[in-house]
Amino acid sequence: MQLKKKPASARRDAISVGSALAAATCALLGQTAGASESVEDWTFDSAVLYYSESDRVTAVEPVVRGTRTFEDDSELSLKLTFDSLTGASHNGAIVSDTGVQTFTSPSGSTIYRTNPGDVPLDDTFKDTRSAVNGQYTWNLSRTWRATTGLNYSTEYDFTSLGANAGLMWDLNERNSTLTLAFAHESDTIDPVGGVPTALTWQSDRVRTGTSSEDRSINDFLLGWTQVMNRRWIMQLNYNLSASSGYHTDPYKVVTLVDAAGNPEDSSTVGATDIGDGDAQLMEQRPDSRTKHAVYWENRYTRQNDDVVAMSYRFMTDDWGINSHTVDLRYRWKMQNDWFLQPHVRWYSQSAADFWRESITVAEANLIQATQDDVSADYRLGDLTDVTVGLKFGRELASGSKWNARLEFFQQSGDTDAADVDALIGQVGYTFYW
Amino acid sequence: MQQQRQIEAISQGWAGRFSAMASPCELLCRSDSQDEARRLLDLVADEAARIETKFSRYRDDNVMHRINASQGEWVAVDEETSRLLDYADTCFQLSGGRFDVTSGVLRKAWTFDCSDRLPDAETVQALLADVGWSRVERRPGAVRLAPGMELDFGGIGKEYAVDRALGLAAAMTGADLLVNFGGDLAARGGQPWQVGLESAGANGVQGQFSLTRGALATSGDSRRYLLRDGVRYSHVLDPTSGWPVTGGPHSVTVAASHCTQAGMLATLALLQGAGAEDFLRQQGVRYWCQWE
Repeated sequence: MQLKKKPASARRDAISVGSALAAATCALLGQTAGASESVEDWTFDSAVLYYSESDRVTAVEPVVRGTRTFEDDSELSLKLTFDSLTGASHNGAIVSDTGVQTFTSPSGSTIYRTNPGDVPLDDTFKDTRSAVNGQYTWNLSRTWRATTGLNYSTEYDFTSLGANAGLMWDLNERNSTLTLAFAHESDTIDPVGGVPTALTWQSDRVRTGTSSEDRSINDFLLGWTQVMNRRWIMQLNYNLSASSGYHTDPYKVVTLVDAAGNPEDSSTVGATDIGDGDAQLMEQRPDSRTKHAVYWENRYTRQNDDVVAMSYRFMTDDWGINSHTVDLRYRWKMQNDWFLQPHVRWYSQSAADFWRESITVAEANLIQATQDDVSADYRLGDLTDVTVGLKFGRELASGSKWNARLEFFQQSGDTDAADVDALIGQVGYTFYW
Repeated sequence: MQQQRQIEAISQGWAGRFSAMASPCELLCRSDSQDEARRLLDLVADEAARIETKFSRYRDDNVMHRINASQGEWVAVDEETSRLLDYADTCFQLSGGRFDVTSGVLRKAWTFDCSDRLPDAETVQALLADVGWSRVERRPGAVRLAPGMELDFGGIGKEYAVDRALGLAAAMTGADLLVNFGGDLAARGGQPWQVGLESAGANGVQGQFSLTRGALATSGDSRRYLLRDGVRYSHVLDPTSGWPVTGGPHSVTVAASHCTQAGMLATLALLQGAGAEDFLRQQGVRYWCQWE
């Protein structure tokens, strides 16, 4: 028994075994650098998105995301986004068949008019946005993973800083994953021309005197991912989002109309006269919002490797908006690593309680007296939209991938302003570095 | 020792098959070109054959034979063998002597044929005199074993060959690759590879694992054991006692960045017996244990 050594060193902290072994393995494989390097490569996803609404906003958005997986299976992902927006956006006023309407630009430097039948658009709308996101995910144990991230986004009148943290728990032989995540976001809104005093007349250009407003958002997510069988994965998420602070759009107005529905002049309410149909009230939204959303997705891989993905989302909030989204995709595998993916999305929402297409003098008086909320933003009204598109692409032998997407978006709502058609194009490329 | 090498189209590229190290071996590659797949298959199969030829203890024309037949003399070793000896040394230290490349001689007493034939204690005791890495002497470029001792890289060689083969192939192509030597595998890919984990029992597949980059290795074998008085003796021998480990899982599969590392973690876990899962949990690696 002379060799029966005391396994003293075996009792050493077992945690050090894995890392010592990793180092020894690298030393052993020193000459096959290819294998060890490949573990720590960066993967880059790049894409350029083009979005164009007919006669309104056009956006070009390049995105680059780099992901790196480390030896210990942890992953770092960094994403950079640039947005460039040009064109005009609806300012909230009604589309009048009869009267000319007159508005001031947000800066107050110009006055513009909208002819009968036209959608009132503020064409000074031009913006660039840049955003950066960093996310790190690592293993806590065999079945627990943690993730945390930071994001920052800035544009000329808006800055947002956010942080998130989450836990993922694999259970049931890894066929189930529970996700718990929390995110906090702090926004600063710095409107061009100052913060307008809500519920005052646009032509009076009343400002609160503060240069910026704040909003904070807390998001909570509970997710369940379940492998139903070898081909079918299901996901169910519940999302609670509570925000407080400034939710008003400082550039949107609500049109004052007469009994016949024609735009009123500001003289009716004793406001500054800047032209015809200039009685436009600065909107006001609640200072808090609580949203609940449920998301359900099913992904099924067919025998021939085609994938069917179907999702449904329901959202309800304390502004009175309920929305439903149904999304359907089919990924069709073709010869030589090509794929073709048709996509259909249907979205419908009900209007917020305080949404009005326009208001009468009596309503305006009441709203101003009670400091009630009111907005004519079509995005808070009844809406239905349909997106139909096609994505295709190819995975190259080198492992890099490219794809292109073309989609048509058609929206309709209670008002003519809500009728928007858009064209969406995207080109994406994934490569290793 | 040129093996049969076959190549066939699969849904995403090519699968090349051959046999080496007493195992079915496989190379999967997502390449458009059959010629490229053929070249990669040759590279991988040649590397497997090279390592098998060089380190097999069943041959009499290689470095292992020279070491094992050295009768107490110093034997010159090349750089690759030195690196494997360094690795074996690290594993011996990390395992407190339970992973020992000199323990192969114990197999003279143990035949794992599912019977109840245990060797007698004296036989095992006598063989233990020839086991002990700490008595192996080394100096740069050379090694010396006491007479009667033998080296066996069986616990490292196949996993090492997987890592080497993948490294060579990866340097030749940008395509996604998976190298699988008898269930020990390593992959490099942009798209994940779906890997089925075989169950030890008759009930087929135990699970599925998505592997993009990294490796899986399994230690243990449900078909090699001895059973006596209700105690199952696994074929994993503890060189500190000369007896098999009992009370542990039948097999352990570990995921790690390299196959060599995954295989060693799986082996070290098996050597922990009933403490296998505790050990793996402390390593923070993904693993699957078959206890049955």
